[in-house]
Amino acid sequence: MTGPAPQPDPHLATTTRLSIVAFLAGAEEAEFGAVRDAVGLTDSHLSKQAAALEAVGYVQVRKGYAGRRPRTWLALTPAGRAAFTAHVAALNAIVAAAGERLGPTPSGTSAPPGTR
Amino acid sequence: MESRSVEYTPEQARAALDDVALRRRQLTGAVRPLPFWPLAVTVGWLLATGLLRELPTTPVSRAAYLVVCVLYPVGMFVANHFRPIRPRLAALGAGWWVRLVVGLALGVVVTLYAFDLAEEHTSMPNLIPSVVASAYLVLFALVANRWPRR
Repeated sequence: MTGPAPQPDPHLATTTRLSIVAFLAGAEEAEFGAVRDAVGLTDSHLSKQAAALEAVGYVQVRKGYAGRRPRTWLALTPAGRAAFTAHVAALNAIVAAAGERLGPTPSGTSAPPGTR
Repeated sequence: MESRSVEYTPEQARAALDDVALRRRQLTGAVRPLPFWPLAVTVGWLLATGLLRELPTTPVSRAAYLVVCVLYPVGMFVANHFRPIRPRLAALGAGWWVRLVVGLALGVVVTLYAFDLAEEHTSMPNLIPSVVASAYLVLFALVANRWPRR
């Protein structure tokens, strides 16, 4: 239990961004609407968050067509995947340091983390 | 530019981890390959043809059973591929491909073997392969297709 403790990633500090990245972490890529529905966001909110994640190199946005309909696909980049893994490790370390036992709980609610 | 450090309380960290777990479960559910009804129809068809003896034990009937045993897993895979979420194999559990291939091979072997057994030892050449193929499909659904929740 020595060595530098992993630090939470500030780009993933908001619940919304973490949710998006966590969802994308299990997919090669996901269509915009699928992510929107899964995370429970509006089109504009997801678009804004995806742009922010793309700006820091965590998410790749691909535009394409399904038939004649334009579609947008989101995918986690290797950097985004690494950042997500490190962020989760940091969260686990915080919980472990507090002496709590980790385990999946049915509730999916989360509180926004504090930043400074 | 977000260069600030971030501090989580243990409760916030746990809540965030819960959310991560929730998103992963959502994905697993979202890429659930096929609804239940194709499996039910397939099993029903197999049992009905076996009970009614509509199919004689011929190479044609064998081919029909094999196609059914192969169609469902392949259809499952194809449907998965074209869904709006392209799953990452690691997220579905290691060896998904292996399970698919082994499942297909097992389906072929089990069905052929059931035909041979039924021909040699029973007077129900269609029923037994039907039951065996149905059991195999249900097992395949349970193991590889993640039995539909809800």
